[in-house]
Amino acid sequence: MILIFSQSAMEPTTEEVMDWLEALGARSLRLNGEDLDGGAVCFRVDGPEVTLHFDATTVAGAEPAAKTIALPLAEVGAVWFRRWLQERRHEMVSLLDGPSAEDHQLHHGLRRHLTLESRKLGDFLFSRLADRPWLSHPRRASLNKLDVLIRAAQAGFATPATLVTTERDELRRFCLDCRGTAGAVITKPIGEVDMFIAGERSHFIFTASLDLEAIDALPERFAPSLFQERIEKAYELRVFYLAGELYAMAIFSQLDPQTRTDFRRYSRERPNRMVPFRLPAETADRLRLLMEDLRLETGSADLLQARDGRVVFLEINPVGQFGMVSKPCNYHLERKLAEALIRKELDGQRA
Amino acid sequence: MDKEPEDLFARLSAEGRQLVPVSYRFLHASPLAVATVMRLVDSQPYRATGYVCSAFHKPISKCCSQDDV
Repeated sequence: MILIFSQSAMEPTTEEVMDWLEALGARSLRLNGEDLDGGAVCFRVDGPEVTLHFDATTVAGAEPAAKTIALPLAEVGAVWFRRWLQERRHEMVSLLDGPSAEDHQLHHGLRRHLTLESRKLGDFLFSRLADRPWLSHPRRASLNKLDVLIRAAQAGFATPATLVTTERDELRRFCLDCRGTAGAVITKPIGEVDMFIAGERSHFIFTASLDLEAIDALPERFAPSLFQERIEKAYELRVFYLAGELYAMAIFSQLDPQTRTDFRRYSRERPNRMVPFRLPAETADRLRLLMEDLRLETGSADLLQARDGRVVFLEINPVGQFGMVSKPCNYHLERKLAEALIRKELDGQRA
Repeated sequence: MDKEPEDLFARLSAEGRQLVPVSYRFLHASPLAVATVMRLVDSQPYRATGYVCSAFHKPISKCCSQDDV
């Protein structure tokens, strides 16, 4: 049995890989992070044995008379960590009522504790499966952008000049230093991008460009923020890595002002051209070296082909959507990933 | 009653504005597309049940596409 850790929403990739697992004759079971967050699932710990029990009505193919389906963790032959819990239920609602409702400190304390409880439960599951073959363990799925940047430089990549600061004057000096490139800087989160939904509007943190005028409009001090030189690009590269193999795609985003700074500001009327790309051997070697250093078996790397000829490394998303590379380039990555999981399960049985 | 501003940064308190990084000043706002909402509604039963076995048939693939993110 291949156990898949995923999430319920915005995750079409998992279903496509499961389709391939079925077609290739493998058995799989998917557990979404939300299922542990108040879903119909329970753990039974009996001495050293742990069994997951699911509500049978939620498992397709279950016997009609069965009320629960049991999965002893001992039967799990391989694990795919695709994604996990994004928003916990207690983070989405107001926990306090009446006069206490405005007690922000209490609210924060309650949420913090519930989040820790929820994390511990997930950690327990991951820990009990630690001796099974994983396709990228969750411990390695959370990368630090700055740390990865340094490791990429050590692997031989060109990387953007980077500044983390709280001071406008420091940022201004940095921007002036970057004038040799595009005369501007970009800012993006130190951690993950996020989207906030307020009423009927979504607010997404895209990479944004700042020139001196925008910098001068900032207050003298702000929260720690990440800035990088803005590099004039010929095109962007998105490279999916799977167990030593690289699948690269070029994205021609630079000609459209809407996608020039961040291609995720998709143009629906005039989509960016995306084509398969053969990486130079030197770039491929550096990327493999970096992925091995990070001990990642899957991940999506973002690179830029700069106008000055450099291939510049930006970042890696270990759980990025690879459908966006697979489909335009006919790489059939969903099938390749299913085959990799089946190999993992077989390797585990031989061990 | 005054309508709340559409710019999320403008809705932050004075203290809140000091606590968020510069990127919050450049949030990209867009209306939640009706089609996106309808796809999410369609997928609700699957998302509510969550775990599925290998016999499950295409629950969410048709419901969310990359440009909805």
